[in-house]
Amino acid sequence: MTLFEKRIEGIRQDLPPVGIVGYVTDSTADLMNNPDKEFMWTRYYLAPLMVSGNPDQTLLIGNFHEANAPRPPGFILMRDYGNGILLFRRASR
Amino acid sequence: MIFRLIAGVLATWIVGFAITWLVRPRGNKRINFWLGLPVGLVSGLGLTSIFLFLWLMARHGNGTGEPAAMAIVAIVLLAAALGVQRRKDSQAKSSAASVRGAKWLWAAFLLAVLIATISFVSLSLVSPHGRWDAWYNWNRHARFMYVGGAHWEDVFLSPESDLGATTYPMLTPGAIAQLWFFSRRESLLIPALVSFLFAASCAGLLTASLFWLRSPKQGLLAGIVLLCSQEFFRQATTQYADVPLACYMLAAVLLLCLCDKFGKQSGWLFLAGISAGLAAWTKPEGLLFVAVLVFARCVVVVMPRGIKGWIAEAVPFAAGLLPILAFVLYFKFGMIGSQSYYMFEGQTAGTMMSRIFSLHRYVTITKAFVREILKAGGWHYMLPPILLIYLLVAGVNRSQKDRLAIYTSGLTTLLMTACYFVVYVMTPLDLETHLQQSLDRLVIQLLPLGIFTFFLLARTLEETVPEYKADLSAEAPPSRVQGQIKA
Repeated sequence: MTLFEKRIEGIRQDLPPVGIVGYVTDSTADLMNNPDKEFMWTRYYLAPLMVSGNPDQTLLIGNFHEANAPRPPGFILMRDYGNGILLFRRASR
Repeated sequence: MIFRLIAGVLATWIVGFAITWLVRPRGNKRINFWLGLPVGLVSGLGLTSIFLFLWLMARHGNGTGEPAAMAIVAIVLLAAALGVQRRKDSQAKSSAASVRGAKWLWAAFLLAVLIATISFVSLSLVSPHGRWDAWYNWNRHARFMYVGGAHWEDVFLSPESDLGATTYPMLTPGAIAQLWFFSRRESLLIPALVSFLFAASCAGLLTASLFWLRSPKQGLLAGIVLLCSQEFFRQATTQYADVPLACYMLAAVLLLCLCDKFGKQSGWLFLAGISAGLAAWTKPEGLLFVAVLVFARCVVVVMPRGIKGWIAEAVPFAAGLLPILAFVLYFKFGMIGSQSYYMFEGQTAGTMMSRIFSLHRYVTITKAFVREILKAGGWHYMLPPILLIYLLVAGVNRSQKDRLAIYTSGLTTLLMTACYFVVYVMTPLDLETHLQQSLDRLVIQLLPLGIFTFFLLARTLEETVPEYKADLSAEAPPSRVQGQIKA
């Protein structure tokens, strides 16, 4: 868990301190009903920022373990932190 | 940071101990002091978490100044506790004789304390963040209290929040955040420390209470049994709220039992009410415990003493319970509002009836309960046989003085077990998964109470072993303190 904190350290400064952001991952976990550990850790470390498994947010945290994992449609990549953690912004509608 | 942390722990402890000392019954100072230490610590952790919660509500999440305010409260309470004029407390006849003859038992107890502490520290070093529910719920809510500022309530009020966990009360998050505020640092040490304090207090409560309720050796034996229950301490290292809940349940019951032994003591009844209220502030099962305890105590007391006898003790008990209970209910229904509890989600009359009449569910649940109870405490199925052998050898306590205490503790434990059974019958979740994920923790919640009940029920070494029988005459606690203590 401590190693994971180091992974998301970079994205923390680019996120608002409070509010809600979405979270997507290439793991097969059902984030809304049966979330995986890394989602839980992300929510823990980014508190009081709320991290939702519902991707219908303005900002989206991406946690990808495969380089060629599909990116969320309708979102623009803002920054790649180089460790599988990415930050997306919703494309203008 | 360490000095500020120590100050925080001390302030918390002083708040609880001072309240315990202020309401203590006149009489045996030693009982009040030695029991007051663990009762004071757990009461302090609970009451100061409520203080912090109310402070954050009043100050819109600004926790600055709360440690100073809490320290002032602690000093005022301490001054009041020291300054209250009381008649000189009677000194209990020394129980040193019975203790001197059992150096081996003291040595075993201290060794068990050492091993349990080392075990806890080792496991905490491996998992310093605790386990799933700690980072998903308890410690995360503490973070909201500590760093959330004006948005500290987002975790309760956001529609995106927390997969049901926002309905959980906030005692452990508040206790953790309290010490973060004191130490001015979000240290990883503090959640583990809070867990340790609860686990240690549980062992202290069990040992001290039986020390006085039955005998010093009985207290030490009970303490050794709990300290050697490695699963209890492993659960404590997960930083969940099951061990704190176990603490408050035990505290509430043992304080009632003390009243049975030493006569109606309004102070102890008041503290029992506080402990029950704090159980409700710890986990949702705590609310169930309050209902069970009130019912069990009513049944046990009404039969020998009548309704008037029950009302006479219910008044000071309610004085301790109701303010905290009102706060908990406001939190659940006022602050959190209408968030649904998983037990009722998707339930219809039809689905509930089909579960109630499903024999397969009863068989599955019974097997799981039997398995977990036999494994209780991590003794690899050894604890029940060992206790049974002890009971067969020592015999059953037939003293009339202890009847009410045994009935109160036993009935409360049985009813809580039955209620947990019913929860599994009715659960909308997958039964096997639900049992697998939670039953071991429910057993841990009831383990200290179960051990307490057992050692109330069993005769003591002093009553059984010829070479210790002489200690009976040297032993302290009178069955009544000097005069019946009035409110």
